[in-house]
Amino acid sequence: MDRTTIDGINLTLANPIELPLRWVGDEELLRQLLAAWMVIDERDIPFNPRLIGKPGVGKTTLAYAAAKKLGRQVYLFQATMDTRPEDLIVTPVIGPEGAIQYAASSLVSAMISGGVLILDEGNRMSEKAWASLAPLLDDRRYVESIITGLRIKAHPDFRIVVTMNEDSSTFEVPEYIHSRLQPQLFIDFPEADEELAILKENLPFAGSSILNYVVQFLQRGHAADEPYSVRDGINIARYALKMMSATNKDPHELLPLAVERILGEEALRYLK
Amino acid sequence: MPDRLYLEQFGNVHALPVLHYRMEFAHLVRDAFDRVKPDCVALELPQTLEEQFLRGVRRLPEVSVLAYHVAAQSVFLLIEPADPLIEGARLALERKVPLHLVDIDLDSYPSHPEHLPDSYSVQRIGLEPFYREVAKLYREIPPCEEDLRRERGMAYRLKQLSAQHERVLFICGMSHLERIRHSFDAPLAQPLTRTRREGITILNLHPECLHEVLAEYSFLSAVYETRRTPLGPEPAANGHSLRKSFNAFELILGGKESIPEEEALAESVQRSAHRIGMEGEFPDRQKIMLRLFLEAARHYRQETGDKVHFWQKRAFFRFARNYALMTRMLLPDLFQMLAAARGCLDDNFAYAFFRLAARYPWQRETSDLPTIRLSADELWSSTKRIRFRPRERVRAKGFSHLKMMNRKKEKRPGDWLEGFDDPYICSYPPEDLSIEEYGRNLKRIGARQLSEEGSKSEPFTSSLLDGVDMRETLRNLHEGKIYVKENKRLKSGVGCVVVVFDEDKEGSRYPYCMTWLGEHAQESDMAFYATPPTDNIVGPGISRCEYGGFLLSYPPRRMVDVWRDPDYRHATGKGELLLLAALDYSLEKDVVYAAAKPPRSFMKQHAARLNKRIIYLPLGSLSPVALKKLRAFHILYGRDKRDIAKDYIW
Repeated sequence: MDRTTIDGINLTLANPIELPLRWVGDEELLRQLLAAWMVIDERDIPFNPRLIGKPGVGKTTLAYAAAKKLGRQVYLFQATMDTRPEDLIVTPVIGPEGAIQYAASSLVSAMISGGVLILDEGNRMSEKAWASLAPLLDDRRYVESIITGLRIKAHPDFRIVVTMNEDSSTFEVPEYIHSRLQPQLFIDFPEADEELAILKENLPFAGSSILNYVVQFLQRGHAADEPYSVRDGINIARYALKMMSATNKDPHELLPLAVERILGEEALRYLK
Repeated sequence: MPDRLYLEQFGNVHALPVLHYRMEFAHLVRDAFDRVKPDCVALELPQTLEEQFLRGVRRLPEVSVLAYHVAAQSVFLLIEPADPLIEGARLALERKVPLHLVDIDLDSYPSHPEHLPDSYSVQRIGLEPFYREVAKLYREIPPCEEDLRRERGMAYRLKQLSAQHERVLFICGMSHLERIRHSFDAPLAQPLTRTRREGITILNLHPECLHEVLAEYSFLSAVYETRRTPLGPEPAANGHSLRKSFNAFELILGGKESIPEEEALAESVQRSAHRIGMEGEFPDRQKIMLRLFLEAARHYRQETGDKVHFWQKRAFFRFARNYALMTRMLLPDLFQMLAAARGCLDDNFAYAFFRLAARYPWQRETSDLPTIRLSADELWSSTKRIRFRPRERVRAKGFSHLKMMNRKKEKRPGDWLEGFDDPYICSYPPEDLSIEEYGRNLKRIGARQLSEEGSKSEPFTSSLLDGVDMRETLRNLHEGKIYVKENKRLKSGVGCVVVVFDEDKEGSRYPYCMTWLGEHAQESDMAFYATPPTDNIVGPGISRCEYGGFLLSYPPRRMVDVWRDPDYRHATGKGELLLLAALDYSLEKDVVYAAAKPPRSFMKQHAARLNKRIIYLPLGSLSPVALKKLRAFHILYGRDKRDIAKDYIW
């Protein structure tokens, strides 16, 4: 675990993450996210984009892939309705000798090291927590830790992206935060060929007939505005394959069972 | 400002090196005509196409497609205004200068991937340094046999022309010019080439395909086209509205007040052509983009009532610039601008932007020629090989996935009026559900706010209360005490909810005042003031309104018409009237009031006299996205409209 000292206060930094994620969806979205982070001059500042889409469309994967494309370390912060301002910045912890130590959050660690922060499910966080990020998201690019009294400036290479699920906001994102989280990149359900590519990427051992069958099912679901995602498709195919291996039955016979188990009975109407 | 025009001269040939299908080069052709005053024009196009090509040029400003087949391939040449070769041919015809197509016709021609700099740089640095750099780039690419044959053929024809004329203006792609120049001085033999080609057809392009297949997007082509001729008087700055509004009297008579959408859009093109510079001045693509944005913003405001904020405008241009730079271009193309419009504003703005960007006023669905529909998917699919000539691939084609653009339009003017014959009006149920849900959400927010206001921390004595307050404990570490926190719960509930989007002090913007009773036990009574339903017709018997403010009161079926209630006569505005009614009708102690400004202190005193309390929520603390969605609602004339409404609601 790395440590750093700012204005005489020792901070323990969080570790970056390494995930086995690869973006096989629309390349244009990747380009848009990188465009949002681009700066053309040292006086220019990057955008703080947000990725909006239904669950399972690949928001976090896209953010991770874009961060990796920049060649930076990636930090992830999972926001919840309990996230408090100090959770986002610096939290006091009791050290092995009973003394108080200060742990920098993954956000502050990314700010200090010039990494990329993915603030996942940002819409679940309260306004109070968002307010603590307001100066970071505008031209000031710093956060203030109330607990330590520190003002921590972001490294020029620091980038942030917020993922949001459009359907399930726990709190309101107020106007002054909304205007700071620009641009909004919408991730729609993928087209059939992209969906097949994503399934192949995640289930390289699956036969193409199963994957095509799942893609057709998902596409029918998208057309009917159902919230079935690629993630559901992967789970359906994976379940069917596991059952096939256990029972030696034909996978096509098992797919309706898999659909029912993963998404419920009402999803069966989208099977052929 | 640099001298933008540059001509290569060999013999009496004045050659203009161009990039095909780029507006800057089309304008340079005009400058070249004025400077050279040619008595002959030569173009890099094969003579075999001449007859149909000239027919297409004469049709301009209507766009044509010249088509022929070569084995399994279809070859298309788009005859559009903002292209240097087309402009050259057009000027030659207009000024009665002999025109010669000097290229040779080959049956096969390989396609090369090319990464050329953005033609916009010519605007800033001029053509000469631009051409020098591009020529250097081409010197490193070995030409194929077909290239060499074409170039020798063109040099031969130029030599013939230069012997017959005094000043030949030759318009040619940058990739060939340097080698043509070298060949020109060398001894050349007449090339062996096809002299006739059968099956060349000229077709009218369907107006709905323009945005996909034109090399320069339609609005830019239209502005260029408008500036080719003397500019007429500038349309008024406020201009016509795109909002389809019908007043009640006209509705009965079947008449309508608004002008067709096409006219309003054409007016925007006209105005933009005026505002990008003096007549004859080099048209600046960046200024055209700005005009497109501003006109789209005006239309967006007319239609939705939403204003484009300065920070949104700044974000749009910054993001679009970055996006273009990612693809090694200086300025964004239409697709990138649309992505920026959607990302930095919203779908409705993107629609307004797209509708204007795709506007080319002269194109008609029917003409004396057969009409063809072409899509980017067809043009670039690998199964059906179709290619354009000249060979440079145009950038960023394809809008097929932009589903939001498929908004329904009137089939003929006045079509939607026919839906208003049912006197029964009703709401759109999904909107009722969302407003009820939002009302409940505001009650939760209000209750939470009151609880937080009532929370307190104190040193630990006998009870931990709701837990240790770490922050307070650390802050007072020197005291050596532990602080504990108590969260006060709201004892009563929240009754009514009032949301005031706009106080409407002048009283003119939101004249439609209504009191609606809930249809069933789960629905609140509602009073609201809004824009008039006849002001914005979005479908057959479907009106779009915007709330100025509304009041929700639960349980339903209790509210009398608040707008005629004499008890509220002393209210200073519509918002205050709703608040007075909310205080009256609320069965609970607390009333939520969300508005840009807090209620005046008199209202708080009045509430206290009624033993009520106003929880004020600043409008800015609520999600602007949620408010925007909530603010627009629809009135349907007849229950039958509920089945079709989703197709017209945006």
